[in-house]
Amino acid sequence: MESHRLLTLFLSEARDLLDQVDAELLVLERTPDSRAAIDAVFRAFHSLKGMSATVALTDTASALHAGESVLESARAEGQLPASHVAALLVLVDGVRRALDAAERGDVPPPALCSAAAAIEALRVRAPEARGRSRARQRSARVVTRATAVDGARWRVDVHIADDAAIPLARSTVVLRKLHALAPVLGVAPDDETRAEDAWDRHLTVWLGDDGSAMMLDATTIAHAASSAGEIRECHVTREVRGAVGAREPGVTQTVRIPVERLDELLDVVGELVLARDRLQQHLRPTADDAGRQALDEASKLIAQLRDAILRSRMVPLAQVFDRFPRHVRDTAHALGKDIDLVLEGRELEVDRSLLDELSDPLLHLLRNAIDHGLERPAERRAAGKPERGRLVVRAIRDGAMVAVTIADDGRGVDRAKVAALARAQGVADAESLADDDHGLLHLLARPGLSTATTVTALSGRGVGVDAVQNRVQSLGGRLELATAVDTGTVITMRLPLSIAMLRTLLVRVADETYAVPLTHVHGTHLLNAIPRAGSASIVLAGERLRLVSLRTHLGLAASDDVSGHLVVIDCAGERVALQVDACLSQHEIVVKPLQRVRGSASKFSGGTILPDGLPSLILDINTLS
Amino acid sequence: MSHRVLVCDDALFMRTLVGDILQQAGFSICGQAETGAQAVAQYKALKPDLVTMDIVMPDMGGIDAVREITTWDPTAKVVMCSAMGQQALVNEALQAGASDFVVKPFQPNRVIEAVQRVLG
Repeated sequence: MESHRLLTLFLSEARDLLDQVDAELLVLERTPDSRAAIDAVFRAFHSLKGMSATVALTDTASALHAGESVLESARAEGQLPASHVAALLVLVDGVRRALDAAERGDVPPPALCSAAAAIEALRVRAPEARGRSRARQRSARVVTRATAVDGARWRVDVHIADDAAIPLARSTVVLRKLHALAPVLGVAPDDETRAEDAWDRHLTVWLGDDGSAMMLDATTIAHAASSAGEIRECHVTREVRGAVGAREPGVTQTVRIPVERLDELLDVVGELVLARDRLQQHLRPTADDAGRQALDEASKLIAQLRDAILRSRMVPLAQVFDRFPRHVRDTAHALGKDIDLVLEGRELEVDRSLLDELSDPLLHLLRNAIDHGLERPAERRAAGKPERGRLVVRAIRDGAMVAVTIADDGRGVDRAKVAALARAQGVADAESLADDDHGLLHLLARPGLSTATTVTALSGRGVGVDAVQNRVQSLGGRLELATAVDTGTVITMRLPLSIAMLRTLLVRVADETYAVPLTHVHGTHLLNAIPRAGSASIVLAGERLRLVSLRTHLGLAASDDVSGHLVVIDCAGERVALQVDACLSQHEIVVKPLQRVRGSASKFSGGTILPDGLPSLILDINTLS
Repeated sequence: MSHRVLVCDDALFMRTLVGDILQQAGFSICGQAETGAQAVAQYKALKPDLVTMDIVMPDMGGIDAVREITTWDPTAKVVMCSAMGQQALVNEALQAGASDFVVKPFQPNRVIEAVQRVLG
């Protein structure tokens, strides 16, 4: 048991280290002489080697030793040649596979040994690569903001105003202001990049702690940065995790907890909340003052407990975002494209249930942007654009939602082509729909519609926008699109921060209670007159809405009841009036995933237990469209 | 009491313009300088609350003047006046000890904002 626990810990930490190595190697690919990156990779290989040897993965340890030696020479020479970066990336993949094998109890794959051999061979031929990588380095820029800085306590992200005349000089003022508070340990991008017109005016500063900065807080730092003037926005975050090997004991104590245990806790607390509601319902009417007070106090504590558990489930988007640089690099290489990837908001925290769901759609959209949006260097040159395409992934918090934007400066979506394809599929008003971004998204999300002239192995047919749209909507979010010819495309995914707890409206149909996610509910209306059976629309507040009877939708027998409610729902950009027998109340529920039902039979996205202890199903809004 | 400002620029026009903008905002102009060397001498003599400094001036440029002034008085507050296209020089001046900068052509509100930022 003990050795299993150790192996689990080893695997999880080793994978973290490999992710960091990936990130640093990508920095080195652009900036072969980045001392910090060389040191970080060296330290990571060194740690990994020791760890692997400890758990008796000798092949892995010796492969890592080869990697470590390469980094050792790179330290001496002050740079890591590009050819070495590629070989080390292969080695990292080999080690990953070896870890997967170890997890299954298998022998390490042969790929690891060949990767290590390739590295050894490189070391012998090392000198010839040097001249080339120097030339590369001059035109290179570090854009990835993923790198953390050793010992940093604060990370300050400053966006200099768009109308600031000399952003470089303004950034210097910001740095002076910050330096007056605490030592500046790192600045990105470097001042050469900040002097360029193309700089996006986003400055990241890492602040350390020299002892005098004990009383420092985020507000003070943000205030100081903003006092530099001409600042559009400023975000201050506490750096929790240092860079490789820089984990200072005592800064933040962390414990690794298996995800299942967190899920278990949430389940229990969800049921506790419901038990609380039932207690309130039954005891409150007859309780005396003291009893009521005790009930209220218990209620408050239960709410606090629930919030604490929800907080403990929050993880930074970095866990997904940090896979992007490698993914984008590999995809771009495969397609012959040259791309700068900018990641913003990787420190933003979301519930881990969402994080798992977020990864696939985001990778899909990234792949689309690289494959269909961004042009090849020659094409870009001909269009008067910089040869290197730009891809920005930005996450910002928007109330209880998180908005993740993927923006490219590519060719934009060809409206005429989409319209033609949609018309061929039988969409009557395809041209007018394709005219605005909203309609265009609607067309792109039609199953089977492809804008690719050739279908590639990477993106496949149909762009997958329909898959992404479905996923986003079933998570209670929505997709937005903005595109302009030759300028680029921006796709925004808006999602709730947590999908484990859901605010819902409970409705009743045929003596059953169903939950409707509140994020989609626009309003409710009491029906004065029941619409004729089979009528397809209804006018509410001067607006004609499509009418859907939940009874019919769920395949239940029609009723002759004369009372009823309408729930107005935002559904894929369309407003739908959903007819139910009655609206009951609003409730915060814990979502329990349902076993996926094959085919179109499932109209539900999950289940839950209601305050009265009975199970209820959560309506999947997508099925209404 | 209004803040006392030393205005340094080799062009009389620019000195007058900056002087007008600041006076209208309630500052008093305690002195003017046409060269970097004059700026340093005037600073030591007048101990103004704030200096506006052109970058390109004869007989010691603005950047060297900033360096001398802030070495002599580390609390000195200097706002650089720069033309477009001088970004590297402005940056150098900031590193030499200047507190802030404004860019020509001057917009009165920008000048006043910068001065007020520096005076806290």
